[in-house]
Amino acid sequence: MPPDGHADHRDDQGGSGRAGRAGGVQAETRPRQEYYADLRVAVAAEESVTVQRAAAREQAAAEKWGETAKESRWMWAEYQRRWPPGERTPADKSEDPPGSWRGDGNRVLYPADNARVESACDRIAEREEEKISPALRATESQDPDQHLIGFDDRLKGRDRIKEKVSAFINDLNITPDEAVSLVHDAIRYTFQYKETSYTQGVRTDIERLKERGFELHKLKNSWTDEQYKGINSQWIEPDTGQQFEVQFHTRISFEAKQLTHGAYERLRTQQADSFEELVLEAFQKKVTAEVPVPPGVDSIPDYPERGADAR
Amino acid sequence: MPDKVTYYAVVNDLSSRERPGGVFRRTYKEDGGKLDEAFSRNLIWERSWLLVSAERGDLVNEFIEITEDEANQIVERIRATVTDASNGYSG
Repeated sequence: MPPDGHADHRDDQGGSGRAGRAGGVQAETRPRQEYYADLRVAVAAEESVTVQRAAAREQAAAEKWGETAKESRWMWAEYQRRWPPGERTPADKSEDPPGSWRGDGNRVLYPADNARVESACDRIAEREEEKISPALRATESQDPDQHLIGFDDRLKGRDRIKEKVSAFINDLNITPDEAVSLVHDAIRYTFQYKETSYTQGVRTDIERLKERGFELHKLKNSWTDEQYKGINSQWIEPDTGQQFEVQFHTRISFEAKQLTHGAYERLRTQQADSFEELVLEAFQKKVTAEVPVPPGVDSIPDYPERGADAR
Repeated sequence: MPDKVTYYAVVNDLSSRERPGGVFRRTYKEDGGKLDEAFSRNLIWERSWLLVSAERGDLVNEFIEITEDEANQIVERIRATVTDASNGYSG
C-alpha cells in the first residue's frame, strides 16, 4: 500500500503509469485514487474469471453426471430385469404372536420389545417436531446457498428402526433398551450445497449447529470411499439427549446415494448370491466413482479421529 | 484359492476398543462373493448387514480390523457372558 498518498513505492510488472527505475524495477506514478481504481478493476476481473472458470467446471461436471445418471438408471433397470424383486421370498409371520414384529431379514421383536420400540418412536417424533426440526430449518434459512433436501423423510420408518434394533440385539448381544439407544439416525437431515461452496458451507453449518446448542458426537468424511461419498454426522440435542443425524451432500453425491439405494438395500438383506452381489457392488462403485469431489473437502477431519484400521 | 477371512471388533457408544461390543468376520469366497457374519447372542456365527451399513456411512458402529486370535478372545468373552446370564449370574 502506498504510505504517503502517492503510489510511487509500489513495484509492479509494467503497464502504463509507471516510470523506469534502476535495475529494471518500475516506480508507480499514478495518483493514489487512480491506482486503487485500477487495482479494483483488475481484482474484480480476476475474481470474475475465477468464478466463471468454477462455474464452467461445475457445468461440465453436471453434464457428465447427467450422462452417468442416465446410464446408471439403464443399468439398474437391466439388473431388475435379471433379478426381479417379486421373486424374493417374504418373511413368514404366520406363527408369530400378536403384537410382535418380523422383518424381511427374518429378525423378530416379540410383543414387549416391539411395544418398547413403538413407544421410543413416539418420543423421538415429539422431540423432532418440538426441538430439532425448527432449529434445522432456522439454520437452513441463514444461508441461501445451502438447503435441506428430503425434509419430508426426516423421520426414519418404524420398520427400519425395528430392523436396526433387532440386529443390534442379536449381533451385539445387548438389551432392547440399549439397542434403541444406539439408533442415532431415527431423525436425519440432509444439507445440500454447490460443489464449489461445499467445504466452506459444511464448516459453517457445523459451527451454526454448535451455536444452536447441539453437540457434535461423531463425523465421518467418506469422500474417499468407494461405496459412498458424502459426510455424515451425529448430533445430540442437549435437553433431551436425543440424537439425530445430519448428512452433507452436493447435488450429485445425493443423487448418487439415491441411485444406489436399491443396490445397498439388496446387499443389506444378505440374500443375494455371489454373482448378484458382485453386480450390485460393481454398480455402487461405478456410480460413486463418477461423483465429483468438492475442492478442499479432505480438509474436513473425522470426529473423533478414526484409526487407519477402522471402517 | 481358499476363502480369506478378515475379523473385526465392533466399537460403539456402549463399548470401547479395550472391550469391544461384538465381533464380526467377512469371508471372501472363492467365487468372488462375500459373507458377513456376527458372533451372535445365539453363540453362533450369523449373517449380518451391519458392516455393509457402516460402509454406507452409518456411524453407529466402528469396525476395527483384528487378528483371528483377538477375534477368538472376544468370542470367548461373549460365550462366557451369555452363559453366565443364562445361568442367572450378573456382572
